[in-house]
Amino acid sequence: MKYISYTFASLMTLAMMLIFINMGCWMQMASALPFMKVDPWISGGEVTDSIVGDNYRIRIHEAVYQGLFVEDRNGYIQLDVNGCYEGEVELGSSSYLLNADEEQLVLSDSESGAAMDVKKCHTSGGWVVRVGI
Amino acid sequence: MIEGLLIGLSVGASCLASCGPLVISVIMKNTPTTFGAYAYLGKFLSGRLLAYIIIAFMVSMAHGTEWQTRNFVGATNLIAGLMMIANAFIKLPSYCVKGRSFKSLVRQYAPQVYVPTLGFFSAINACPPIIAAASSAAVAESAVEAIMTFIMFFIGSSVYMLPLPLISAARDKEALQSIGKFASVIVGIVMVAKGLLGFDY
Amino acid sequence: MKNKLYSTGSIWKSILLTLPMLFISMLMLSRGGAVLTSQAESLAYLITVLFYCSMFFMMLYKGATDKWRAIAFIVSAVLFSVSFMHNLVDLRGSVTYSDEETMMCEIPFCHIVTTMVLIPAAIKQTIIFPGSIMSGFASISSMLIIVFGSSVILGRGFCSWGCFYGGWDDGFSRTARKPFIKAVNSAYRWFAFAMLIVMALWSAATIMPQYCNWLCPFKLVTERDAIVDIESLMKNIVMFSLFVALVVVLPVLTKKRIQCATFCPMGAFESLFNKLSLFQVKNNESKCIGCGKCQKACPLLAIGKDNKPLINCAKCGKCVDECPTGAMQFHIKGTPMGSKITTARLLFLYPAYTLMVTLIGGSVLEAIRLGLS
Repeated sequence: MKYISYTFASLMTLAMMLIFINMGCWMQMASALPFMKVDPWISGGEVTDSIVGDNYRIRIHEAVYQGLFVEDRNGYIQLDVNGCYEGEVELGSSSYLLNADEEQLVLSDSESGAAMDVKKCHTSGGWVVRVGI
Repeated sequence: MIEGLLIGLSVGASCLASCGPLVISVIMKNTPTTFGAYAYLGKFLSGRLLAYIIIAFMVSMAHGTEWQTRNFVGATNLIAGLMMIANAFIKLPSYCVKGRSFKSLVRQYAPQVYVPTLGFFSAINACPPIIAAASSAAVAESAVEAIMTFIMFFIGSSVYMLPLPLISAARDKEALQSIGKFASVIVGIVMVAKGLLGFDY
Repeated sequence: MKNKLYSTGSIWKSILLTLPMLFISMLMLSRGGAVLTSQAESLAYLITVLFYCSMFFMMLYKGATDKWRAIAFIVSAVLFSVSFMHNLVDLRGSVTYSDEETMMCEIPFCHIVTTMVLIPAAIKQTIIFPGSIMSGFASISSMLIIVFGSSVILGRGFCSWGCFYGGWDDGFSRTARKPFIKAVNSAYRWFAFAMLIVMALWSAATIMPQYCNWLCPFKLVTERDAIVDIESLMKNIVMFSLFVALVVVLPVLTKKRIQCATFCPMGAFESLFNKLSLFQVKNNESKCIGCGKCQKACPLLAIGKDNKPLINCAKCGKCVDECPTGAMQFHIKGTPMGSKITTARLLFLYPAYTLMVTLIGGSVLEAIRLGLS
């Protein structure tokens, strides 16, 4: 028994090195595991629709909600806006007016025209905006 | 009613994540035996059941969830949080009642009411499971049906809490009690903060 | 002063035993030759390899584990922060993360987050962290592999040999010559386990790693929220206060690693791996005289009243160094107690030090390179 223990202990240094040396392989294996994806509440969810035009592309993500299982009131829909766009956008059962270009993005309620307070950021790929629902 | 049970079963994990820390803290801090731990769980759930029945009644009367005002939920979180912090310092007796005089009965029963009261206040919350159950109960035809929906929801969601008392079977009771005490304080602080932030100032 | 029990007794024997670590350091720090592209990098590489190997040499020659481990550990932690924060400023212009980094999932995954992602990973099959699964610095998959792999090998030894935050706590705990608060209630060691339970469940309930969100004091020496509203201001105040209290003031007053011993949920989680690890620190009862020096010395409150190491032992070696009779020993499970204690220590030191060199050494190299260029 003690010889097996000493043998295993001797191999632990090699095992520790192999964790790092073979990291690429381990990462490939790990990424195939079913839970290895960022939660949609954090990442914005999958893209379900696109609006494409001559000088714009808008990708609309699925609606995501906070909660371990149940859909809470607290949810949002993410839009990825690339280019210049001015017009209506349908998100779920609501309609909004979107005015976006390289400098700014404004999302307004289509009925009242009031600008909405949304979470947005400008990235190298355009605007990412999350509309609360 | 079946819908209530199904909602409870489907969101029970959420209930476990939200209310589990409270139950675990109380059990670990106070309970030496597994049977006693289940007694504490029973008391906690009884307070929760009472809260659900009252919520169901209010939902059926209001036909909606207007009772879930920020101040109301903030207050219940605050009370539950303070009770959790207090739980770390007070000693709860076992489930057996001793003594016959009025004074000794009060001393015995008052702490006995503590855990159900904690279960009651922690249940009155605008958490996703309650909202789902309330939405289902809101369309019930009568108050009785709404109450039955919530009772079925209670049964479905409580199933997930049944394994929690088994933690009292751990060998190191001293460690368990220390962890329970500290967990009570941490959960209490979180709930007090949640309560204070939840108010409409 | 040499610890006669563990000292090799000769410089040449120590050099010989350090050679494998020299080879490992050179291999693991070279990153396939990528570091030797400029003079500054080559010099930094040389300095880093020599630094780590000299500390390892001293551990063997002097026979004291904790003192030389701590020097390497503390220097590694400080230089890791320097390198990390410099890279952030280079990349983003500041050490704060904004909505953009969070929304684009560009936050580096820290090992402490592991405790908070497990329950949602099991139930919801998702990782509740705004990081990248495969790409970038400290991707989710790579950090999880490192955490679980090294924890299976070393148990909670990760906290004394791999954690790039622990060095701060360790460093401040050694600044005072004597503790101002002599008696620390050992029950506080269980606070970390309470933190683990509550944080894991609270994070699962809210789909957000709440320890990172609100409580982690080490955001002060890595990256933190930009102050844009009341909530982010409060988070920064809490974070700063906890760093000052748990990482600076209390460790100075008590000479204990208070943050690691009582607050870190990852430490509690790692403790569970002590059951799996082949290596342990054990009390040889036939030699123990019950003086209690090990209890007083242990920085993590990990030694019980019976002078036996508990589940939360991080294998720093301090009790082994302090024990006057050599009762506290490094031990390999399945081997007889008290025999070949120097072999057991050596077989533990190699993988433990390899972890430190590989996990944090790269950042140390980077920090030295920055200093040189």
